[in-house]
Amino acid sequence: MPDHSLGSIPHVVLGLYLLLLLTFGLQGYRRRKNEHQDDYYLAGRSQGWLVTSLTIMATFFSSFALLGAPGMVYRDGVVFALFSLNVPVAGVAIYVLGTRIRRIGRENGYLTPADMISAHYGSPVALRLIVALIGLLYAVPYVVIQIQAGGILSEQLFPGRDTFETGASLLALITMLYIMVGGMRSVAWTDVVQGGLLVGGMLLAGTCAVAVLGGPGLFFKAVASLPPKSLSVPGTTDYWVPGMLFTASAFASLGSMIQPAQWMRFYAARSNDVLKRSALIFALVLTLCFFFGVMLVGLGGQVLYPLVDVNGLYHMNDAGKLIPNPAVGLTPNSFDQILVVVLKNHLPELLGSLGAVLAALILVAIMAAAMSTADSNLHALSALLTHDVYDQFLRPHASQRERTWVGRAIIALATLLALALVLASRHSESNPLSMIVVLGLLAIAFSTQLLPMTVDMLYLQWGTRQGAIAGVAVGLVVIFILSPFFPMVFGQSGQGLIALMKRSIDIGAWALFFNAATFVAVSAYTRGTESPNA
Amino acid sequence: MNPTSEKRLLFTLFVLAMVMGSGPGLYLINPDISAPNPSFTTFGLPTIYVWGLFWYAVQLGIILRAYFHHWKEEDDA
Repeated sequence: MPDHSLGSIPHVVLGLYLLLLLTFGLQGYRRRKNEHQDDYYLAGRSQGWLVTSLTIMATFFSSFALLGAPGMVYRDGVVFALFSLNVPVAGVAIYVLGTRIRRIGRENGYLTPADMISAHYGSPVALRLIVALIGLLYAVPYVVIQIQAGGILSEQLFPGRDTFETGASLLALITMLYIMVGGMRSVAWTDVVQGGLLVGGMLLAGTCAVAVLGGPGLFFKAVASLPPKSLSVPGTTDYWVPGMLFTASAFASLGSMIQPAQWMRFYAARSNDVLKRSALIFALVLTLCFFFGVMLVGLGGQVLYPLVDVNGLYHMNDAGKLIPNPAVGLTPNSFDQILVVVLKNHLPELLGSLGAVLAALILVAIMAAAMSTADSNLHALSALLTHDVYDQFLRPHASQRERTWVGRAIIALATLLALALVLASRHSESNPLSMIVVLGLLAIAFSTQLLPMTVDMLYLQWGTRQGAIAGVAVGLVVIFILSPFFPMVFGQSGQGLIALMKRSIDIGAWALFFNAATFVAVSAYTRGTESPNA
Repeated sequence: MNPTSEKRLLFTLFVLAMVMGSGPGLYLINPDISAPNPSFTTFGLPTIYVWGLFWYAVQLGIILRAYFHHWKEEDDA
């Protein structure tokens, strides 16, 4: 395959984009009204529908959507395109959960999810700490994915020594800088630019993939001749059985919508009408971006870079694991690079200089997707650890200024931790960080554990503090047992049953099932017997 | 149909669209790759892709109906 250089265009476009982000950081700092946490973390609860929709979209869409989703379609075929159906569910959740969260949050001046949950269940210590822990467990892997994306992008765009490390570090440091300086205002403003970029980038990427293969007719004709497994369920690796796809779609959307960063966006919205409009825009626009955008890149990728050799045999590595076409990468995680490879190699060939500019714009959109999710999660994590841990347990009488600075320090530490994980795993023999979608679903599994108590709190008001604590604790244990980290710690014991569970439905759904069952059982047992303030 | 009944109907339809679109409903249309001449396309597009688009249209229709007729702002503060 020809490998066309994009010349200096990506440098220029990326440079301008990064400069714009830093400007927003400074503007956010200058526009701040005071050092109050409401202002730094929730932009004064005054965000309108455009900013709210785009910031919710930008937080939801990450490198998971722009690199992970086409990568998974490239690996497993058209079956993963159906994952797009999680987006309308997430849209509905914005209205159904978000409007109630916003109203209760505003009435009581809540800043973080733990404020509402711990107040509702009368658990100022245990539940507050558990919710903060879930925020941490969600945010760190999700930020890791975004930093990884910066590395992948850089590695593909600027071939040379250590370009992965340079790209990952740059993305991490610039994101860290503008959140530390400008707080929620900067995050929201950059999300507006990034949200617009990623919506345009996704659709443009799909259009380009179709154009590269000669237009819609020829594109789908070529797709129809892909290997049978690429056009059927459960896909090339047999991973996406309907139970897995359904639970991943349904619970990933709900888990993504009640993760702390989104929860705080509901608090920050000016009115419920803002969230209602955001829900509609989200469901309408983003699903189209998936179906007609990035998913087509994965399918086109299978045509351009076949998974099978001339004898019809799948490319495998020495360990017998499926790998992409060697022109895309040589490891099982390299499927995530398909979008960058297609754009870089084919768009300039098709459109000359214009193609190079378009490719650079889409690549900036990937950067935007990664940064907008990383910034939101880092910002929310800072709020959780500052407000729910530092303020409550370490220095309750700290000044607003001190709290804001502690929040900034947490952002710096979390960013450096995530960056260190990415760089260390890169040089590890047994890289525990797998494909973006797999790691992303693991992160979402953690936030999904907030679902039973959130639904109970907003709608049923039946459960007890003990039920909520026990349910989440069981859910977290189940995730750990089913995660790739369990065999690292405890060896291969029980792996037969664990493998069977992991093959049938999503990890987060298993954990949610055990969580909800425990929540109901313990709540039923403890109703009427609660003692205050655990 | 009164608003409460319609809300329940929309909710049920939405859950049905989720189950059919990306869940067990897929067994109804999944091409049998062991068949002698399996068909993988409908209207020239991969059948599974068309299936997804159809259920997206159903979900979107439900959301639009709810948006214009059931989602309220009376609790705005």
